[in-house]
Amino acid sequence: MSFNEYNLGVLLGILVGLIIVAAALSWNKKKNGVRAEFDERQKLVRGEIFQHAFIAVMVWNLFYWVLSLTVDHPLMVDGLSGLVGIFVGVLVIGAESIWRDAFFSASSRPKSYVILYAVILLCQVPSTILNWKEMIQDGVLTFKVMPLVCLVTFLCIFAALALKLTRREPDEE
Amino acid sequence: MKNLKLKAARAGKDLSQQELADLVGVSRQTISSIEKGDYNPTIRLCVAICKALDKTLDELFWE
Repeated sequence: MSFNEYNLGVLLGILVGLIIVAAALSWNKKKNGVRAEFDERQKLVRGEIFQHAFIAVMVWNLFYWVLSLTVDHPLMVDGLSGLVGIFVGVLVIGAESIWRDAFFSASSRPKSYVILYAVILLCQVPSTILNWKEMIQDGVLTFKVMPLVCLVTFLCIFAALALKLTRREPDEE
Repeated sequence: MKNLKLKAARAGKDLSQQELADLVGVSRQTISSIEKGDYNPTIRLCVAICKALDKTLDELFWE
């Protein structure tokens, strides 16, 4: 892999992402300094959700393999299907854990995440528009489709979060 | 099966689901799931709930 501007940009993006995650984890502490943890039900549910995400990635790989058998040229550039598979897994984990109340620890405040996800979502819009015409080149899907994949993933997660917060059951039944 | 005894004991202490959840260190949805009978808590959480509500295991979790 040569270190051209594009690859450098990708690496920089990953680095910025890791810094944001580290900052979020550090911020997500209780006032007494104890790290917020999932409770026993959430840990159990998250275990099931990770199984579902694993199955979803397997189904995606199988689907893409079968689809690629039907055509005589590659549908995506090398490595793209694996990257899309990661986003399939992230989508399942994010949306299902929000829906089953296992995304936020007991001390987290879900409403504060709405703004964060809205910002992530909006950041994908300009890059999706900029890369729109170059997503498919010579009938092959290129890496330029990734902003769209990211946009769809976070749109689904954001929708699950918004729906869950608006449909929150009353405290006392 | 719904755990009405837990719900009654919590109401008897004038605690909301969120307040009880904060006392025992779990999410409100976990308390809600236990009351609705959707989740069977571990003995550790049962004991924590009993201590928070001044009840015995028999009183809250024995059918």
